[in-house]
Amino acid sequence: VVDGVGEELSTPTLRITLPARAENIAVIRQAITGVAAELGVEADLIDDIKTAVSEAATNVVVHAYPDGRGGRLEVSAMASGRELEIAVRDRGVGIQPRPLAGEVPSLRVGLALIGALANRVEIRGELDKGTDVRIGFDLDRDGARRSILDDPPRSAGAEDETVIEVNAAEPGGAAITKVLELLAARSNFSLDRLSDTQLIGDFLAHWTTAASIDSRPLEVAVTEIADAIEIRVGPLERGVGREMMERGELPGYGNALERLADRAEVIEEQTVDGPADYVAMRIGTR
Amino acid sequence: VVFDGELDLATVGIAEEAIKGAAKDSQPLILDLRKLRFLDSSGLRLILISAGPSEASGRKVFVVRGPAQVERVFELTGAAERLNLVDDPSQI
Repeated sequence: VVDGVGEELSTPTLRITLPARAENIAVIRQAITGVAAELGVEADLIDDIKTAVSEAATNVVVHAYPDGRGGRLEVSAMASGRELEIAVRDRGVGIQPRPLAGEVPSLRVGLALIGALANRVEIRGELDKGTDVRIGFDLDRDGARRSILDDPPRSAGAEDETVIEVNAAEPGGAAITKVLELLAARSNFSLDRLSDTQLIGDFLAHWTTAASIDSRPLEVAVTEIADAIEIRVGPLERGVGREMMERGELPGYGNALERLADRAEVIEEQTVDGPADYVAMRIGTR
Repeated sequence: VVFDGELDLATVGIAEEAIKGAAKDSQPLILDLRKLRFLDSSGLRLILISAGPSEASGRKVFVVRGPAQVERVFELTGAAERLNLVDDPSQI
């Protein structure tokens, strides 16, 4: 999730670079629509592609270049086999730990939408080097409109697990929130629960980056099950898990865990590298 | 308020002004999306805020359904459940 900004797509079908300004988002939509139409993509899927790319571009315009300094927005598209991959990139501030208040909420919904629409999403970011969002669409997807609302309930299992590893010394905490948002969106969370999930992500990012064990990467495992996602975070210093649960505090919000998670617990484990805490929680879709 | 064209970050300000202007009347507010060709989360946010109880201060807000892309965004975000959606203004 973190790292590797600016790696080139091989021979893009389209590359467009332009100033990261609101009025250019429609330009990008048009360009991508052109490419998709040329590939013979059906209208419903073109709609989804347009929406996802628009959301990614909006993120760049609003977040990448703060303080009015302006910058470039680059979009490339490449068809490989029956997948269309679109990269939306900037050279801005990178993925930032987010402020907890005063943020434009539409962007949170925006990222969730990309997750719901696309077959594959990768977000890479590096502080002050920019963000690279790769969105993949399966061009052969079912002719019937694919709705996440119609997906059969998922059952738990290792293959449903998404594992994110972040280096606590880097600003990787925000990546936890972003990935949680995507998974929650995919699991058909209601709008209210989506914003709860974002708060839990902020909470985890806040606590875990401070409490992870030096020199060991922090692992966040997310499992999608029917009507919920389960999250396990660790290894944390022994005792920190308990403290985190007891205080459950998110600055400016109060006890986030009690209000938001359906279930939360600390698991004390004896790992090969010594004792460690893991925090496990469950968030229901509604 | 009749929406015609694309509602995104670039145009949401104009739409917001139009809604504010219309909101001065005491009549129900109708947001007609039939001619809307594109809606993203910036536009969705405006519609949700405009239809929200605090903003409308007790006044009824109806949304006339737009084309497939707009419906899709409503569906995926759960917004459809929060809005008074009608197929045609005559149903109001």
